[in-house]
Amino acid sequence: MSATPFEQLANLDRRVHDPARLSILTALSACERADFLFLQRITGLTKGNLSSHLSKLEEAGLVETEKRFVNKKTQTLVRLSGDGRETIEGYWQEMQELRKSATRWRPQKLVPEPSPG
Amino acid sequence: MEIQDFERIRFVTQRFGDLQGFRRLVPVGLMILSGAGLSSFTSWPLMLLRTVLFAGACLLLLGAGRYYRNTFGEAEATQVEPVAELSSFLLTADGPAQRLQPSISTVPRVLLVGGLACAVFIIFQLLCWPPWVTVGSEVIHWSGDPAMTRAILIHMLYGLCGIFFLGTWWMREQRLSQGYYLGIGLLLSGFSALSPWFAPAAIHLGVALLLCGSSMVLAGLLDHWQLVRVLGRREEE
Repeated sequence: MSATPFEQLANLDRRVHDPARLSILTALSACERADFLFLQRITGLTKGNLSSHLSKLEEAGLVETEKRFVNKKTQTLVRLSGDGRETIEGYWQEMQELRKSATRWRPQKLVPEPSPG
Repeated sequence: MEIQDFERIRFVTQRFGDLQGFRRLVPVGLMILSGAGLSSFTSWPLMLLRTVLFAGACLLLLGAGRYYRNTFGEAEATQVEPVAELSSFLLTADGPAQRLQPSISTVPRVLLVGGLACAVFIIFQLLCWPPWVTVGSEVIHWSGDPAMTRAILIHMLYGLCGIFFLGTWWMREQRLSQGYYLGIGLLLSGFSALSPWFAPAAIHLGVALLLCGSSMVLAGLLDHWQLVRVLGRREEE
């Protein structure tokens, strides 16, 4: 028997299923790499929030960061790791399936248990 | 956040380079306007305007890249085979999950759009051959007359510009937010096919270049506006 939409929802990857982190990963999945400023602009996050989410994603091995100097300023470049790309693609596929199964889902009628005696 | 917000994030990141209107379309449009579109006018205010437009185009070519880099940051486009790109447009029509396809860099995309535009244009010209050599309201076959050759070239200019805009709209996933490419493309293609009957005044090189140049400037400005609308928002510190 296939999983209900609720079970599918509960099984979603919690590292990704957060609006801020999902925004970051979606943006990174659409490019080779992006710098910190671009990610800040596209997600609308503050520097602190973005930095915190990136650290979590880096710890989880979903993104890789690289620092370089451009005009005596540090530029942080972020890219998806191989695992990160697979994870985000898998996440969107799961969401697609979830949407389909949610459309098909009908609440089952509860059958009353026979009273003892 | 809605799923459309993620879809917008994906689209803008993927097309970040293309949406930088002040970097490409606006300066090219201004160059066309200053170099050729106003060449038939010789009065000094218009000469001054041509110089200003040309200087503006040069400034944009030199400085727009730095402006975008400093204001919005950098996103390096993913390198993918053009065939994969084309097939993704043809085969993935619905849903953000299917649309999570990487993009290709600008040069192959321009070549792809250009090739598509030329192919459609040649087919269109072959299908509509007699009206294409129309001067005024008469249908005349080409005889090597310079005025007629010029009229044909003006038709071709409208046609190519129109197909460039239509092709760009198609390649940008036929999005509603990019509908101005569709509108401009239809308008210019309409001029190409129907102007002898409905707008004979448009069969003039100066007018044609003015319209094509202005269309590029308009599309570039709207691209830029879209980029600013999406990337301009900031969370409260």
